Amino acid sequence: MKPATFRALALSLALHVFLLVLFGVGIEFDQPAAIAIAPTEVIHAVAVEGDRVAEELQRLRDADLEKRTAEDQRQADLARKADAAEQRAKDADSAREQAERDKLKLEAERTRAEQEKRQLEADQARLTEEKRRAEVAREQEEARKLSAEQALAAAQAEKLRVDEEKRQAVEEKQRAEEAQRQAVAEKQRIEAEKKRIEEEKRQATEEKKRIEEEKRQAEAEKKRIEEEKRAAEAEKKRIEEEKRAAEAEKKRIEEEKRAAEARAAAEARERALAEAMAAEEAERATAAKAAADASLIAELTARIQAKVQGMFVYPDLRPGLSCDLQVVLAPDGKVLEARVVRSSGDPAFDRQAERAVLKASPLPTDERVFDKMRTIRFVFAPEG
Amino acid sequence: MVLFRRYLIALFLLLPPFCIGPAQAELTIRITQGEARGLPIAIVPFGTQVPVPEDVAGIITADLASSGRFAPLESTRFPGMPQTLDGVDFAQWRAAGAESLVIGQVLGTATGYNIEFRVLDVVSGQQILAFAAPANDRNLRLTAHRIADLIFEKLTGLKGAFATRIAYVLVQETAKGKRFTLQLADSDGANTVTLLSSPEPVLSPAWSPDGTRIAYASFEGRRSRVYVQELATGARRVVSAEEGINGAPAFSPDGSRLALTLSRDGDPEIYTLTLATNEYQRITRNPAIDTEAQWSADGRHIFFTSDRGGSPQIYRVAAMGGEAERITFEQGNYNARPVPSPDGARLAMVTRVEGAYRIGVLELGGRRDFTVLSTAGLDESPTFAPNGQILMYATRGRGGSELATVSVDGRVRQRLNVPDGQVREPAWGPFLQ
Repeated sequence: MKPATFRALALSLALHVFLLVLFGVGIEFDQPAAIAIAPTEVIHAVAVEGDRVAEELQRLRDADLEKRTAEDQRQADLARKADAAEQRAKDADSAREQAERDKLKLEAERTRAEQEKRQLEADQARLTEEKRRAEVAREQEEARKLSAEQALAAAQAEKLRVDEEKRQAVEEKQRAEEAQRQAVAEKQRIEAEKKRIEEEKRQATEEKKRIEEEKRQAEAEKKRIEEEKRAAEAEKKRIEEEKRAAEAEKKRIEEEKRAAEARAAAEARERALAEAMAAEEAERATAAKAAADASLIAELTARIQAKVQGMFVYPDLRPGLSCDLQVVLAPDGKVLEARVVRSSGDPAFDRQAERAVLKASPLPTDERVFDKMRTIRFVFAPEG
Repeated sequence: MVLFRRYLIALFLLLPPFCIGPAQAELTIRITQGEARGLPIAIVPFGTQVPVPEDVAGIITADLASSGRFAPLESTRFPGMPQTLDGVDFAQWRAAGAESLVIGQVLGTATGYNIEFRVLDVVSGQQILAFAAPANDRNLRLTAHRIADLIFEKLTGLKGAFATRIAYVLVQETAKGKRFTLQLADSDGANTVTLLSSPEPVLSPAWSPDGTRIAYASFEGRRSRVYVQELATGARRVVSAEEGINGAPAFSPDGSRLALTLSRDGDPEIYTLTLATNEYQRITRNPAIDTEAQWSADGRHIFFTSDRGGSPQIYRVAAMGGEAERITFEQGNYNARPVPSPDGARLAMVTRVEGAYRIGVLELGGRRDFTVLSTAGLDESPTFAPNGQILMYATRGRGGSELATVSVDGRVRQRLNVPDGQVREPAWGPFLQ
């Protein structure tokens, strides 16, 4: 804590102690002025020790006065400032902010005052002890003082009246001076205020300009961002478009591929069908030829059988006799070879079978089916 | 797909004729019918450079024809009379309907003849057989029969039985009364030789299996006896002279015994006689007539005729004796004179058909087929050729009794040329040794 502050604090503390003493002495004093009168009297009437108290009281009174003045001044200033602030509030928001700041300051002040009050209360406790000790002294003193005071009262009243007039004149003068000084100050203040306002106005304009600039910039930025966003979206859209296009292309290619495959499959199917039909046709032709061949062979077989049976002579055609002959034909049906490949066990029977085939030569044949009857197996098996 | 399926079905349906067919590799034709007749053969008269008393080709032709297995062409259809290979035109002979052609020559030699012959296969144009056989006047016919046997064997696979002999009883009327002779002849009835001549009946000649002897019953001295006579020497002996009937002898297949009919024990019964010991064994015991015993081919049984059932029927009994078994049931009410075939498969007999006596053949195995082979009204005494292919029997002809043959298939019947008279009881001798 700084010494100045400490001193102020001490003074304030003393003042409060004193005020408390006063409260404790009597509450019939309505005005602080009455309080101030008695110490003044005390100053004059006290002895060595009383002088010191008077001096102190005087000093305190001066300080109080000064303080009060300053306070008044401050109050006035504040009022003015408030007025000005009100005035300024109309001009710019910043003035309100100032008021807010003042308010905050007041709040701080109040806080500080409360802190002081708390300090005072703390001090009070301490001072209560001192007061109790001073009480004894004071009670002794009062008795003594009471007589002196009554004597002094007339003189004092007179003196007070003169002093009051003197003081009033001084005060009047002071007030005039003060008014003049205040007018000058007011003029200066107004100019300064005007200047400040202009400054503020300029600042506001600049601020506005700046804000506008910022706004413009912000808008530009926004615009730029939007532009970028648009561009990005456009890019995205473009990419998506490209992607879509790519997919469409891919799909188209796949579609074409599928179509080509389907076409190829269809062609293959048609080809296969055509081949199958051709094969079937060929098969039908083959089958028809085969059927014709089969029928021709059957007819030739019947004719060969009849011819050979007509040539087959054997006295004892008993069932059970049976032999096989392998016969090789020439294309004209001539029997090139007739060979017994399975004997009946009866050589005469075998020979007669062989003879029958040879006698029947040439056998009925046909070049169309000759390949199928180039060799013939004859089974000679009489049925009785 | 439908097309494919149809195609497959079509293919499947076509499989049998065209897949299974070739799988058998070749066309197969069955021959189930034919002409059941003798083989068409042409036997061209043999050329001769010297006078030949016999028609060799004619003998061969008759022999082959009698078997039923050959159908010799009439000589009028011959396209030529070749005697050597040079003169043969096979096509012509084929055209004439011949399958086989026999050509030959009878050449004169110092001792008689040399018969050269060839058998040609007209169909294949190949020579089947070629032979040269010496002969003389005495055996010229027999040689011709031997040639027939060779041809027969070559073309039928069966043994020929033409060069065999037969025995039969000839009954002739003479100024002095009936004359009974035992005759020996070639199988075709030629070359007759009289073995025995008697005013009393001669019955039932029977060949010994080796063909050297003949047994017969004779009533010489008005008593029936059984004789065995040596052919080579003519010597004979009485083998059975029991009380009553001694008849119907038959040699056992091994030639050691005779089966015969005796009535020594009252009624006619079947006995066997062991020739070496003259021991009899009675085989049948029955109050009816039991007679006409014949040995089975294997010698284990004896067939005989008996009227024990009320009418003559054929029975069989074990050669050692025992219970007789009736063989004929459904062949009419008269069946007699059983003769087993050489192979034992058949039994020839005299059967009465609609009042007529004919030769029937009963198959002993299998279906027991019964075939009546003869057509006349009083046929009797059947006898098999040793190869079993021909039956000979006595029959009534224009000039009285005579001999006839029938091929066992019944296809060919022939009459033999025999001396005038009644010919009875032929017996076909065995293959010549």
